[in-house]
Amino acid sequence: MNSLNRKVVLQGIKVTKHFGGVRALQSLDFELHEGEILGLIGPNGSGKTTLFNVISGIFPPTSGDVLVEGESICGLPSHVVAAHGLLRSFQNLRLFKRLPVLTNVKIGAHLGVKTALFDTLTRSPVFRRLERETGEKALRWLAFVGLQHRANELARNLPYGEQKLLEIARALAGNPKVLLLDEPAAGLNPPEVAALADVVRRIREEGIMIFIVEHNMRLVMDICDRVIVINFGEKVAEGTPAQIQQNPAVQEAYLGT
Amino acid sequence: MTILTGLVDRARHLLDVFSRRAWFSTASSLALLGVLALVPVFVKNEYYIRVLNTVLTYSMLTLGLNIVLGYTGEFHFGQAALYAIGAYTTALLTTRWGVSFPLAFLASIVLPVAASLLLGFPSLRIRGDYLSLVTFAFGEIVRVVANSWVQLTRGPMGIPGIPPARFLGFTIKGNVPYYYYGLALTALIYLGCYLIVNSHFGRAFLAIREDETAAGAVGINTGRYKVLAFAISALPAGIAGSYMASYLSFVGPTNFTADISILAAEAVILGGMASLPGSILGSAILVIALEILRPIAQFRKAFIGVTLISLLLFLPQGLLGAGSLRALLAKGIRDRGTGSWRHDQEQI
Repeated sequence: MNSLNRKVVLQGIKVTKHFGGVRALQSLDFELHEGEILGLIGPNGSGKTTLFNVISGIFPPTSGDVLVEGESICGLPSHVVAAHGLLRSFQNLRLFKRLPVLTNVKIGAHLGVKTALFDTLTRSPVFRRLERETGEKALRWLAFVGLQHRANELARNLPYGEQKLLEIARALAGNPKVLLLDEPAAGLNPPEVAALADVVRRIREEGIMIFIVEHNMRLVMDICDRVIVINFGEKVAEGTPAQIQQNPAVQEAYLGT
Repeated sequence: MTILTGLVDRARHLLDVFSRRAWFSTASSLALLGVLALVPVFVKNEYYIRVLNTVLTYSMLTLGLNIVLGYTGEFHFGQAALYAIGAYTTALLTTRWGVSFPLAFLASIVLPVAASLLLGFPSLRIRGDYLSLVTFAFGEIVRVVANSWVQLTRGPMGIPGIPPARFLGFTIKGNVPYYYYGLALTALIYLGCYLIVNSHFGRAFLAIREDETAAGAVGINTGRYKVLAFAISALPAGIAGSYMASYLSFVGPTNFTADISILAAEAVILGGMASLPGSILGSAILVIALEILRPIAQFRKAFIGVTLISLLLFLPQGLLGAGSLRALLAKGIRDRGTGSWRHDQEQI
């Protein structure tokens, strides 16, 4: 699959992030092309989650730029980044735990809802239509990850694997262009990982691009079109899963010399 | 004509919503409203009616506070300040400047909302314990200004002779008419809160309470919604202030001590965070309990404090909080630590 002549949707240019003296990210370049699943791997503490936090506006980079379809989203607050079509899941689940599952996904659809207070107070036709669409959209994405039977339970009462899927459904409800998945398979058992891989593939079929941080190598090699390897905040290698597996620098980063 | 059909259409839709989705809670609220409307027919003791009018005032304060404290999870202990601004606005406009009551009433809504917008801005930078200090200080500042700005507020002497409420030529005067006036205001505020919390506004507030980072990541402008929650919470407080000022026909700084803010917060917690019926129930229980305890009034503050601490320890979900009573009956109180009072500050 030749990705070079496809449109670049998400691009990072020399993204650098320092926390005091700690150089979490050093001049990192990356590109996510249309229709692509891009993997990001690296040993613990190599800066993967930091990169996701920079991209999604949790904190700004020290220097460098992040572009979505050519437009800089660098330093913008996270809700503006989300409005640019970049939605994420979190490594340590960040669900709205004490709210029902369906409400979690409805909140995820917040970006599609723009009604004034007046419309809300009078239950205007606009409000009613949007509320109905929000409900339908939430149910659709809940069914997409196979959690429709859990709709009315509290999010915190779901088993861990389902909570992970719920977080993905919540992000999908916001109509993302790019979905950032931060270790979606962490803590899942093999059947759950298989189900997750299936969900990720079906997300791609929906025309949504995926940037995934993952430690589960089998999953990464299985679903990703391209993989970037970082270590100590620097890019070590980039290529197809097959190329990455052959790369001596990667083996060194993971196994040491 | 089209406006009329539009309104009819909306009214029909509201009825439709109430009859299908929330028919049980609506039926029970309407039944309760009916029962409450009949109270003065059977209760002839004016003292009881006066207590009920206080309950209604606190219900308004608590319903408003619930939006910011119960739904959005912002620690707001300054509701008395907004109540005071509402009360003083009606008092000054009607006595000193001869403004008609409906206009004064309107101003009593607008000014507290404006003040609360300002109060909301610190919540963009600080939260939790620190925000509670800022809001608490705001409450004290308003009280101190009312006490010291003698030229405007007559200081500790207060403002007497506030005329009774007057709408469209009808003057509302006396305990029973004020009961109905208060009941109507509370019902309207309840309806307004109900319509707001059962929408994307309410969902955004809850999302911020549950996890502000995640709320931002799904596209909620958390700052905007927090300031909005503060503004909405002030509206009922201003109405309550205007109501009480014209009812008592007097306002003074001693009517607006921090006790009121704390009692309102306690009513939110007792009734259940993010539960509108809970706000009413919590207000009723606390106001009536304080009346019963009037013979030992010197322990009033101790009562407020002890019940607040006991609530946080033993009943953090409140009486009508999400699944609280039911969960409590089913499981005992063994997982009381998971109550909805405090945010867990997790790492990203």
